[in-house]
Amino acid sequence: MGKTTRRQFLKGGTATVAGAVLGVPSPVSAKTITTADFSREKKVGVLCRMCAQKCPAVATVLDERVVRLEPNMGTPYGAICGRAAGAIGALYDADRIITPLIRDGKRGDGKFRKASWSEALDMVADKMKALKEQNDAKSVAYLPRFSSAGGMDKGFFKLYGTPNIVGYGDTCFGSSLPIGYGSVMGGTNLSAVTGPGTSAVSADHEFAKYGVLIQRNVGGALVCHPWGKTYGAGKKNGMKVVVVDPRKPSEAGESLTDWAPIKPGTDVAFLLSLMNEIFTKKYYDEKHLVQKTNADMLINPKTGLPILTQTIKKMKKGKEVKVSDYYVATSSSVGFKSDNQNNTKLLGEYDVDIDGVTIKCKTALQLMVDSCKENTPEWGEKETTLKASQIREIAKNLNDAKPACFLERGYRSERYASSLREKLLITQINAILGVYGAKGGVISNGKVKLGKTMHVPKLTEPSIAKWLVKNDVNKPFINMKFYRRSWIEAVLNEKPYKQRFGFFWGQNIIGGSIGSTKIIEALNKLEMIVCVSPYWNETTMFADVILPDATFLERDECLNGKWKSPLATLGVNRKVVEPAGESKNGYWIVNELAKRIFSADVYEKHFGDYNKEGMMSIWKKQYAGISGVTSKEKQTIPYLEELLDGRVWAGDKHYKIKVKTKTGKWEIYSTILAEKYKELKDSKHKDAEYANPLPVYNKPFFLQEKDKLDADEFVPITGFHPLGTFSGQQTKNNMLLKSILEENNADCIFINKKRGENLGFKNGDKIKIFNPKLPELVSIAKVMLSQTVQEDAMFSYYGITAGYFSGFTKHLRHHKAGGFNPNHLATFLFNPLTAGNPSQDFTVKIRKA
Amino acid sequence: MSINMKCYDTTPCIRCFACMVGCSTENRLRLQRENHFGVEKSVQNKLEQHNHLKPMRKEFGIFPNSRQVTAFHHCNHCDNAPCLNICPVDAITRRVGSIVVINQDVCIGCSSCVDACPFDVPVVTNGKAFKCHGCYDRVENGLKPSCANICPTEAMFSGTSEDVLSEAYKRAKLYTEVTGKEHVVYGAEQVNEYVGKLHWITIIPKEDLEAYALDTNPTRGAIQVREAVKTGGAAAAVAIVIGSVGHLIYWLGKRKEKIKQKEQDHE
Repeated sequence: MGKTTRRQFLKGGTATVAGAVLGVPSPVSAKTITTADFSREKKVGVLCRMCAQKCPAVATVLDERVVRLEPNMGTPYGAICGRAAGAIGALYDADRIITPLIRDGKRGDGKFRKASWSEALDMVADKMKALKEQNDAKSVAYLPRFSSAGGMDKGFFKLYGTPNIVGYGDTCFGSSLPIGYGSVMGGTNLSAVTGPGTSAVSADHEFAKYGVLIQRNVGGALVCHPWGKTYGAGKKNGMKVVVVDPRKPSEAGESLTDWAPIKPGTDVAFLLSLMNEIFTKKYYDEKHLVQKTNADMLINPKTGLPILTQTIKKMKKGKEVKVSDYYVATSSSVGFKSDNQNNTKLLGEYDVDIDGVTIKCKTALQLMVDSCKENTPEWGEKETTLKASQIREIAKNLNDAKPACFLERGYRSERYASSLREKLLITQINAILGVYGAKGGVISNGKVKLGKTMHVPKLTEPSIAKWLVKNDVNKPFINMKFYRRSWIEAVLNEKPYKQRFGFFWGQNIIGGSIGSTKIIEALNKLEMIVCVSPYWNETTMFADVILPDATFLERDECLNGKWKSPLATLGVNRKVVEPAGESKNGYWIVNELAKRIFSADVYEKHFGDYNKEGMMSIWKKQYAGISGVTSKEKQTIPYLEELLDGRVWAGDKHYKIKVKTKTGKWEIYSTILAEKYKELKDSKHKDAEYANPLPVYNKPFFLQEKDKLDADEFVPITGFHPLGTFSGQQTKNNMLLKSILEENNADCIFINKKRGENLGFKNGDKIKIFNPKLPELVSIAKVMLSQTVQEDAMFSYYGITAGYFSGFTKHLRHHKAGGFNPNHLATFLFNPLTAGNPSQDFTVKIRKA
Repeated sequence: MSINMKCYDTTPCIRCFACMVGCSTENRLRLQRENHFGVEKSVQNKLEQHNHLKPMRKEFGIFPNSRQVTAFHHCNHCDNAPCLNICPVDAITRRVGSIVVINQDVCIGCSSCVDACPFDVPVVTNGKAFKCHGCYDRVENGLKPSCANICPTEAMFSGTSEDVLSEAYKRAKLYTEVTGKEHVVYGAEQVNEYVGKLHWITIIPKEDLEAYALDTNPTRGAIQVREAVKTGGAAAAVAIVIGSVGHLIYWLGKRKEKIKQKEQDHE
């Protein structure tokens, strides 16, 4: 005791000196960091925009730089992913666009000169003013994605006079997903039902016992807040899943995860045989079907419509509502459902007398059972290459877990001509199993509605989509908000009217949707193209003017009340650091354009408040109009100042499902589709069967052409990488993400090992890939031979490599030219009826490069 | 402070790599804070030595009875850390909470730790060795290590060894019940004499230990040669040591013994 060891002595802080004096290296610990070091860190609440999801996060500032993002734990689902962790790689991307640029060469060449903001803005505003003076405001289309001027940008364009605000969702979530869901759970065929696509419902992973991941795996298409978090919680609680996917994705987890290696494009066959097995084994609860669904609805098999309906009044939440009542059968008679309630027959054929004529009617369920009676698991095995026993096992697992189970409803799910049928079958099976609104099943997401920020007069001119839905017999289910490829078609055809000006805010239409040659042809027809973007991409190369946007860490945004979360959630993104170079936030850009375009009094009326008060004018209007939450929840919403200080508010979890059908039932037999199907069939429409309300087999285009692929032919399937982002560029030139991506060969294409070897390939070989229908477009990529890819599939991670149109990479130091983006090589096709984007519905051939 | 421990649970992990990017970012923060190398510059460089967590993907089986596993390569912060034991200049120390840390100011880049580590963890770049330092700066200030802080699915978690072990055993028991496959907590018990217990443990199906590259008997041939040198004497060593690498290890081993001896003399 009392002795000082040399180690202890050195810990006193004179380590280096002592070491030097003694002439031996010093056994000294690394520098101790104290709370003083951490107290220099400043925290700012943000909503991450490394992808489209806005996960609540907290940014750390140290010495005037953003140094870290971490989850905002103010919500029960606080979580961020690796992209968010690498956000500073996008913020400090040395190749960002940070000055306005004006084209200085041919469109597509990517030659630009630097310009001042006033020159660039004048150029844009002058063209817009000229078109307005020619009474042709509608020839301007606004194509937003990742807009940084929420609550102002769309209002600006409406006020300007164009009805064409063209979303990108037809390539992703906007077409089959809302129609397939809405035709069962309610809505009109003109718009999404309980919300556009993926925002409507969530699987209750936390309490689910079994899940079928089909069309999407939660870890790849990662939405951390809340799905990544809830999925992990589910796994921790012992949830089992099966991944129905031609490629086994590690991102779905590697334990408690079965794999059904399905042949690409045959999801419909799998789902039909699953439904067949559920019917055969009576894996449904009869009481549930009678109470919640229209399984007992008597249908006239000749018309496909309910034999008799009447409108009755019912009380719902203290309000009188009109409900469509329908004919059903009991053991003794037939009559209206309202008279028979829970005593109805689910199966069978019944005589109904109408004006003295007897019509043999079947129950909706009977028709569905009959319709898929040939689609046994053995039939499914032939179509899908899955084992019949596995299909049976999945059906049994669902039955054992129900209602605490789910079939995923998909993501970026416009893939094949059969996409609508896939979504419909998924919704029907979920409804039959009774999972909607159930703990561990699928529940409606919450939403905070916010006050309006602009009051813009309604336009009389119809948008292109509104015109198409009435005039194009091939697009009766086109989405009114999301129709960018139909817009491209309108540019080419000049129908219903000419398009002269494309204003792209963050949208990369060449990278993100199929049919590049047609898209480029359309872009070249426009008189002016403006891109607002902080990053280079395929589309910016065609711009006449590029306006440098601030990234999310460099701007204040309006309040956000909409997430893909069962909990209503409210938060706001705050500026962390000043925008790089001369880049500006979206509100500034829109306000400057408004000053130039509108008369003084119109400007004052709509932008005067913003001009005086800045963002506070928007926040106050939004906050004052908060609704859509229960009164109890509303009491707990923090003051605006607290929200602006980085607090995120979340409401309670409600086990409910929104039903908006005319019958008030979950329409496993969709009356919306029944009516449309009859109409299409009567007019002998070639695509009528896609609208059949009964479970029938619709095939992808490529399988309609041929059943068997050639030896060198593959279906180019894609999946998300958790460190990649669709066609957004935040992840592309980002060294923080790149190093991990390379470790995983994420820039390669993957084919089945046996097939690859038969073609004489080995790991790492460079190969040429082309679409036999567009053979002049040849991509070159590195191939990996894999045991975890189905034989017909060629897998690549979506949006990781540059692809055929690689020109933009000359502006980027870390993002290489080449690789494979299937969108670039695909033919310009539309999905039947929905006008969606059949992104994988073609084949490619490969050769040694 | 009680013993710190980290746990990786293979079951809820969705292989999203948030932990890995978070680690890389946090280290760039440190480069800015300690070395005045601003993040705006460091993000332009790969700086692989600062990515302490690596995924190692492998495939097993023949299609369709095949699968992919993503082994998680990282420092285990061994209780009997061979890197610390061998470091000739004592640049590797055990911090409060049992985290094993390399001090780059002292490191001479001799690669002894690389040779000694049975998990192939340390890397030597520009004359300095690097490996996970357990975010000791964060942990010593009451924060979670970056990887555990950022993990969206709680597949990575950290805390006192009592808390972490109890949660890990609880999870392993549940997974064993649900799957019928025995799940173990790798590193919670002594793995072998060479490394002892680990302070970064892993919940995993027992049958998958090998697939996930979790060695049940982690050793290093060359280092055992060195142990022979120490116990069997110089004559035996001459017979065993072949080639210059072995000779360097021998020399370093001797050197370290000398330093230790000096230290004892001071007491």
